[in-house]
Amino acid sequence: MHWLNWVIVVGWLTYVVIHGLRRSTGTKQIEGYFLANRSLPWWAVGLSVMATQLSAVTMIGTTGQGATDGMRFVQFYFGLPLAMVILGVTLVPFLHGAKVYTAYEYLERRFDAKTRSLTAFLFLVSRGMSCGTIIAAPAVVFSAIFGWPVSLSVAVIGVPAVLYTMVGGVQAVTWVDVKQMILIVTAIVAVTVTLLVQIPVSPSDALHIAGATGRLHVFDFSFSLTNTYTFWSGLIGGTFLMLSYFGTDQSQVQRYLAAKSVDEARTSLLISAYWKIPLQAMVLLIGVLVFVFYQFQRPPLLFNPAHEKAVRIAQPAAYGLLESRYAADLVTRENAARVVAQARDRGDNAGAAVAMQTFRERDDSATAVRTEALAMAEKVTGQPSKDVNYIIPRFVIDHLPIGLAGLFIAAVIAAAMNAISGELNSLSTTSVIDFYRRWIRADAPDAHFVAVSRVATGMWGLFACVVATYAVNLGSLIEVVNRFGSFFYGSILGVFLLAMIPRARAAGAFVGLLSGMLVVGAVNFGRPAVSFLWHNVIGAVTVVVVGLVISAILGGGLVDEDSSSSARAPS
Amino acid sequence: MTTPGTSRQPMAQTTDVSRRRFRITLFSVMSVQVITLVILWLLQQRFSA
Repeated sequence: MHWLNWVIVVGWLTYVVIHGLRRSTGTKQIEGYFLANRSLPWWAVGLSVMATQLSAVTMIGTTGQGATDGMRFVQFYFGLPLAMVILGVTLVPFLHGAKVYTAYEYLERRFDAKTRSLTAFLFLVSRGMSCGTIIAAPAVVFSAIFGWPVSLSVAVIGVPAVLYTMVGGVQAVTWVDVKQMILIVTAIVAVTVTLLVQIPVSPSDALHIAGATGRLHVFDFSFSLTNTYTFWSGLIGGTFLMLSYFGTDQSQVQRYLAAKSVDEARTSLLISAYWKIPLQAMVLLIGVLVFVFYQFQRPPLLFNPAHEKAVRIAQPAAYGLLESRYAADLVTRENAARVVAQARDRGDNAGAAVAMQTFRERDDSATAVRTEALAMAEKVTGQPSKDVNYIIPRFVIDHLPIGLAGLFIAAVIAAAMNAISGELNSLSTTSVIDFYRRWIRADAPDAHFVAVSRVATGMWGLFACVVATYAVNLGSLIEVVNRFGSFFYGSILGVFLLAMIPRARAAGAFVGLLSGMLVVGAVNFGRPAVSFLWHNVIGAVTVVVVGLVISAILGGGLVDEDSSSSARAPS
Repeated sequence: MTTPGTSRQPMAQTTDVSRRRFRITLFSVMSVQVITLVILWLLQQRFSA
């Protein structure tokens, strides 16, 4: 990589680490370390919420998904704005008004200690694992670009984030998030503009070429429990997923608990709702444009350089034959794409339609050859290929101009650091508040808890790095992250929904939580075709129904009036 | 200098401002979502063969 790209990457990393460390003032008290003394402005919290969820998985996995599958993934986020509005008028006032450090702490006030501990434990397991996959995504980029061992790539990305999170707590995390979001959005816009400039046909022709392969087909109104990317899955399943994620996941809840007031907390969530769908559409559009770009530039048959090398060594003749077929298809596909553009430019719609048909046939043929190559790579390496995660990294290395490649790589690292830092901070908070202070040492000076929190952050960082080292080959990273969460998310949301129902009792909540997870587990293994988005709906509904039935059978008496009333009366 | 008697006023104004900001943000969020969905729909209709 050109030295100027290095200067940009190293310069940015140095800047954010120093900036994060300088934001550590006021973190000697536990409230300062975990909640920034509840003093953060709404716009900073909103950007931080966005930054925590916009990980490197988005920059690499989602763009790759746009290139191979098109825009339909954006339907996944259709429930997000709705979820944010619902949370703004329900859970946010409850949690912010309860003056808690963690969402799970609130559950003990409302129900009992075992419900709190179980939900906190589930959070630690699922978030700890997903944190690893989030580090793994940029590690893939580094491995692909520099040929570094995965463990070294993981350390390069993980260590700076762990460092400023350990020292600065939520304050450092939030303010670094704000700076990094500016970089990420700048990089996304810059790459989009560069692609439009580099593609040798007009933007309109480019979109027609992409549309011919179905990549601009956004809306699918069919109702299917097995298809993740439909309008209804996104709207219903997505709403439940986002309610769970933003309403009960400490990595998100902690952001808005640090806001100055309930109103500022609610507004910060809406800021995130503002840009999620447009930003996600733009990220997918980058992938679509990369697909169009490769109609006029010869792409590699396999984007994963390690797999390409392995297949070349193991089956040189068979792979060479596939490459020849692929090259022939690419030549005819490119010619057809150019004919489409030329025919459209001179207003020859009939000619454009004929050329479009040829283009589709050649594209189908090229895709079939690639599928064969991917199967060959899987067989040779014994690993799932999932070339999708390597498309954008290869494009960045091979085709982005000097400076912009560095900017994009810095943005990928920034996105990873944002997500990691927010999650490490929340993992540390939950470990200390819900377990250490609750079960091991309740009374100690704040300095002691802050010191333990810093150690916990470091330990979780180490754990995440270890998981990341082994998560690289788990498949499409974006799906892996969501799948981990879907096992528990819906059920945890169900417990929080129960908490807002006055007649719900502690035993009902606990049994409901266990039932929800059992049912989701049964659905997952018994009906594996059911999309993970629906797991959240199934889990939440099961918990609420079972919880209310158990509460009705057992009657009152398990929750005293004080805890019940405090839960219902946010200030 | 703020006296105890007048200190409530700025706080009340701040809350009103926050609530008004919340309502305005809510309205604009929904507007942005509708506009985005319409753009995506037009994109699909115009360019998907």
